[in-house]
Amino acid sequence: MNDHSQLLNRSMGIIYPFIILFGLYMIANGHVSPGGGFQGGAVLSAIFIAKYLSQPIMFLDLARVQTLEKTALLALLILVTLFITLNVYQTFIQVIPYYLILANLLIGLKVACGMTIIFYRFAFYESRE
Amino acid sequence: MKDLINGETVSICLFFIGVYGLCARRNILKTIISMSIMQAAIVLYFLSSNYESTAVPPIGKNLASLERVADPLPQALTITAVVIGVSVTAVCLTMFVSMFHKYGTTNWNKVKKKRSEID
Amino acid sequence: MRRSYIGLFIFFIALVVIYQNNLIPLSVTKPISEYVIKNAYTETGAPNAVTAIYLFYRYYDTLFEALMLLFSIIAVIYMSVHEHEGDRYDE
Repeated sequence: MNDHSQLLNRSMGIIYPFIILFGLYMIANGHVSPGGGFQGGAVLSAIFIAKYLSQPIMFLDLARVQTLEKTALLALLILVTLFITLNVYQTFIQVIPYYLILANLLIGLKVACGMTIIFYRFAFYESRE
Repeated sequence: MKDLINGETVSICLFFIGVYGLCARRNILKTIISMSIMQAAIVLYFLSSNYESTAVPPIGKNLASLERVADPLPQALTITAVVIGVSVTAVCLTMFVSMFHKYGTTNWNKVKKKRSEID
Repeated sequence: MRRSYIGLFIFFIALVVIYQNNLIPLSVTKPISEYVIKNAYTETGAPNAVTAIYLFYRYYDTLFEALMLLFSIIAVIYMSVHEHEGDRYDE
């Protein structure tokens, strides 16, 4: 993909904030409306695909993205384990929506990082001329 | 005949199309595509097994008062299944690309023959 | 010829499976679904019952799915490193 289209560059620059907003909305409202961590994370990973469409260069440090993803998984494990073992939700039922939002955020971060790594790996490492 | 055309029948047909692709074709890429088709068929069967045309989505604060609500359990299981399907397909394609650059063919039998020649 | 025999065989299997699927009705009682629909909002405070299931009632599903995604990404990264090429992009 070597032809840099001016039209594509401009239109993708407009699109980024809407993708971010839509993904964050889906994640943050996952417990009251259709959506959730998985879908919102997949939408968020579309940012980097749009970035690749306009400028096909490698600008990400994939090892750092993978570290972020592992951290998100560890945080999710710790969060769920604490939530279950501490039994706070049986006395304070108001805690549960915050737990749902936090877990959805972590899942969304993890899925977005994972899809980004898969896409960039395929786009840059597997495409050989 | 008309009540045969529902989600379950379509998903069974799709599943056996995938099985045919696995059995009859020797192309590795077609094998991966067949596995994806089978996975989509299983997802469709899960979702349509309790389908009612008048059911409302399971979102709302007072669901118990509604007449018919869609089953939320297969939807929750399907969300995870879709992400796992994507990742499995990605791993399959990566292994296929590595193997293609090593042996230079997309045929199972030729790959087997070349591997036995090399060893 | 081999392909058409396999296709015919699988076609008959599919016909049998469709016949059986329409012959045997699904169980009409849905205890888990009814329980979730009745109690999801009062027990979790989440109006979306699907989120309540995959983060509250069945969290193991979500956790191991996340683990599976991480494993598949590790597999993608370490299987797409090819020898005799060098790294075109720094890791």
